Amino acid sequence: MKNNILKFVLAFFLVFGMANTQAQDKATEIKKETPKAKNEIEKVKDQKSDFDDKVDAKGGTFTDAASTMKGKPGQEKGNASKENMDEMRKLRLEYSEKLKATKDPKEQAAIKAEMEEKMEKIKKTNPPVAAETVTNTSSDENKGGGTKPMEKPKVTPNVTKGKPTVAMKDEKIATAKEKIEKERNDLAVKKEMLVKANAKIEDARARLAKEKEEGNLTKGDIISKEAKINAAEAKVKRLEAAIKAAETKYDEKESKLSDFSKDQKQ
Amino acid sequence: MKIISKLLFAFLLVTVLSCRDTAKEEAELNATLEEVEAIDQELESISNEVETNAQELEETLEELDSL
Repeated sequence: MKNNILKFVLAFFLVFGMANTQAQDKATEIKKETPKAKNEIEKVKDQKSDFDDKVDAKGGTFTDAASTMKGKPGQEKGNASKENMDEMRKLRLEYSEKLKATKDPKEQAAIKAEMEEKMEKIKKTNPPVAAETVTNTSSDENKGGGTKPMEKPKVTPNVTKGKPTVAMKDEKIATAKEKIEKERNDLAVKKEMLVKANAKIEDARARLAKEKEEGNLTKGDIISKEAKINAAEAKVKRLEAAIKAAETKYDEKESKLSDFSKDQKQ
Repeated sequence: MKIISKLLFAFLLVTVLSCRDTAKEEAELNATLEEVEAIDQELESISNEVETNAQELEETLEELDSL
């Protein structure tokens, strides 16, 4: 009895363990596939936005063989084909009644010919080809005479509404860290710029002093030049302060990002 | 009987350990992602500020050159 129970419990554990490992494998697979899927989604989104832009740029103008239809393509072609079908159905009903009313084969043939004629007229005014293909007139693509139907890219619905994953978080943290590194390099460039600016200010001050000594300048000139030099100095100080603030903020943000990474490892 | 109770206890332990609080983890992940995004935006604004200051300085330096 005991042995049987033990066997049963062991089997249960075995199944439970296998199910657990399978679930974990699936989870890791999903994690691996998430960035790929994201890339694909981005591509499809780009294609869709390109298509929408094209349609917007062309003002939704589409042509058939004889006339130009303006408005939304789906709506227009839908309406045209619907009207067509309705008219043809009415005609068929009308002529079938007429055919039933007469038994003379000659008359029936005449009625049929008349019906076919009218049908063809309807087809010519709203040809089915125009209803199926959506073409544009204003683009350069169609100047050669050919008409290309625009294909709307398929969009997989609700794919982006996935659950947040650790991989996504890692990716974002990594990109943020890279950004900080890049910004730091930019700050180094700005610091070099500050050094050059200080040298220029010194140079300008020296020139002004020399001109003052020579007595070439009026009082107004001196005041305006001094004002310009002072303004430049103020701007240098402002940029220095902004760089310092940026550096401290970058340090802060970087340590925060590192904390996020550490939390995840724990 | 003792063995069975031990096994059952072990099973209970494994079950409790394997049943993670996924909702909580998800919420934490979301919060972290939002924070990282906020950091990203802040970085953008900081760099913009530095850039505008640098541009202003460049303009005034050009004026200094013509002095």
